[in-house]
Amino acid sequence: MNMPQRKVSEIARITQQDFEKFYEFFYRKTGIVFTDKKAYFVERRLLERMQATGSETFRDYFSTVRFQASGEEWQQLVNTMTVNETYFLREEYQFDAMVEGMLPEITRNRPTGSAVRIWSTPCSTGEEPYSIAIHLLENWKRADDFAIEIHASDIDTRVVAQARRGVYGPRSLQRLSTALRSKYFTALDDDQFRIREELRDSIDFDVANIVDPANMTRFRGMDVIFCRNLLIYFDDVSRRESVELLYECLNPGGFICLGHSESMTRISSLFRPRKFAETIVYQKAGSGA
Amino acid sequence: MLVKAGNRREAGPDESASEESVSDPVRDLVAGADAATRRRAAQNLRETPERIDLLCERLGEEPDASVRAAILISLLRMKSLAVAAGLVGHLRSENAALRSEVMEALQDMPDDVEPVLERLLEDPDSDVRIFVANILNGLAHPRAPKLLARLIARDPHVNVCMAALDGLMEIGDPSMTAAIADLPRRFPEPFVAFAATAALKRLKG
Repeated sequence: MNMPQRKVSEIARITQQDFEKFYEFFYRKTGIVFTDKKAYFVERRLLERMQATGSETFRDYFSTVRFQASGEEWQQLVNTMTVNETYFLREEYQFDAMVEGMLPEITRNRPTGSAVRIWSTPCSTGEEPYSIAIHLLENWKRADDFAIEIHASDIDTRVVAQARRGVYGPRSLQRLSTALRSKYFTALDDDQFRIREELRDSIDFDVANIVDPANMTRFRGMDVIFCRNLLIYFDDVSRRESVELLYECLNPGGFICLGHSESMTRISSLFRPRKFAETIVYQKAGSGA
Repeated sequence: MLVKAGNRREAGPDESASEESVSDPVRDLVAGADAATRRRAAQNLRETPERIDLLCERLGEEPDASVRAAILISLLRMKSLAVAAGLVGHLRSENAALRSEVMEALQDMPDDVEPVLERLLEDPDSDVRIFVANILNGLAHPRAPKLLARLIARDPHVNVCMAALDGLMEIGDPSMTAAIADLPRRFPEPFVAFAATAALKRLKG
C-alpha cells in the first residue's frame, strides 16, 4: 500500500470510545482480548499503522481496516499486534495435553506397534517438532509401545533447511533444563548447540504449503496436528480452506492444536472443542481408536 | 519409539472411502455413499463455474457439515454475482446451521454480494432482512454502513432495525445520527430507546 506517511503529531488523539470500538472489533475477528491495561501497547501500534497509512483520525484508519476488500491493512495490523517467536517447549501445556489426554484417548484400543502420527506445521526452524519429540520421550509412558512418526513442514525452504540442520542458540534453548540440554544436544563452539543425530533423524521434515490440496495429500492419516500461530495471518477464505485441508489430513477422532490466541470456533464448526490439562484443543468427529 | 515415516505411508481410516471414484465428481457429489467421497467431489468442482448451480443446490440437500464446508469453499473460490445469488436463497432455509454457514460465506465475498443484499433490503420476509442486516454488519464493503442506515430509516420491523443498529454501533458515522435518534419515536419501546442512546453516544465519540 503506497500511502503518504503522517507525523504522529498530525494524527488526532484516539479516544476512549475509539479504543473500545477497536477492542471489540479485534476480539471478534481474532479472539485476542485487549483491555485498558494494554492501552499503551495498543495505542503505540495503532498510531504506527495510522502513520503508515496516512490516516488523520482513528475513524479514517478504522474505515480502511474495516472496508478494504484486499484485507491487506488488516493483516498488517494483526502482524503488528501479535508478537511471535519460536523456542523449545513454547506453550508446553499443549504438549502436556498431548501426553495426558490426546494420545491416551487415540491409542486406547490401538494395537501395540501400530503407528501414531503427529504433524507440526508450520515447523519454522524446528523447535516445535523437536520439542514434541523430547516431550514424548520424557513424558509419555507408552512411547515405546507405538511407532511414533513426527512430520514437520513449512512453506519456507530456508527454515526447513535450518530445521534439518538442528543447530540452535541459547535464546531458543532458554526453557530447556540443563539435564535436557545435555541429554539431547551437543555443545558446539560459539554458544551453539546441535540436536543429537538420532533425534534429528527421527523427524520427517518437508516443504509444504497448507493451502495447496496437492501438497496436503501426503499428510493424510494424522492423529495430532500442531498448527499454531499460522491461521491468524491468513485471509478469511484461505483460513477456511486450510482448515478444510487439515480436517482431511486428520484421522477420525484426531486432534488439532492452535496457538493460545487462536480459536477454531471462529473459523469452522467441523471440530469439537475439548479441554485437556490447561488448554483447549479441537477434535474431528469419529473414533480414532 | 520414534520412527521416521519416509515413504512408508498407509491410508488413514478416513482415506479408505472411495478414492477411486473421483473421476466423476458430479455423480459423487450427488450420490457419493460417504462424506469423504462427496467432500472430495466438491473439492474437484472448485474450478467449474458451470457447476455453480449444482453446488448451490447440493448445499441445501447435503446433511454432512464437512461436505457443506467443502462446497462453500469451492463456491468462494469461484465467487461471482451468480454464486452470491445462488447462496442467498439458503437464507430462507429452516436449517439454522446452513443459514449461518451461508451468511459467513457471503461475508467473504463483499463485492459480489453487496448488490444482491441491496435488493434484499426490500424483501417481504422480515427474517431475511434481519439476516441481511447481520451479513452487512460484518461485511468489508464501503457501502455497508449506508445500507444499514437505509434499513434503520425505512424498515417497518423493529427487529430488523435493531439488527442494523447493532452493526452501526461499529461502522456508523455521525451522518446517521438523525435516523437513529428517530427510532424511539417510531418504536416506542424501552429497549429501542436504550439501544439508540448507546449507539448515539458511540457515534458521537
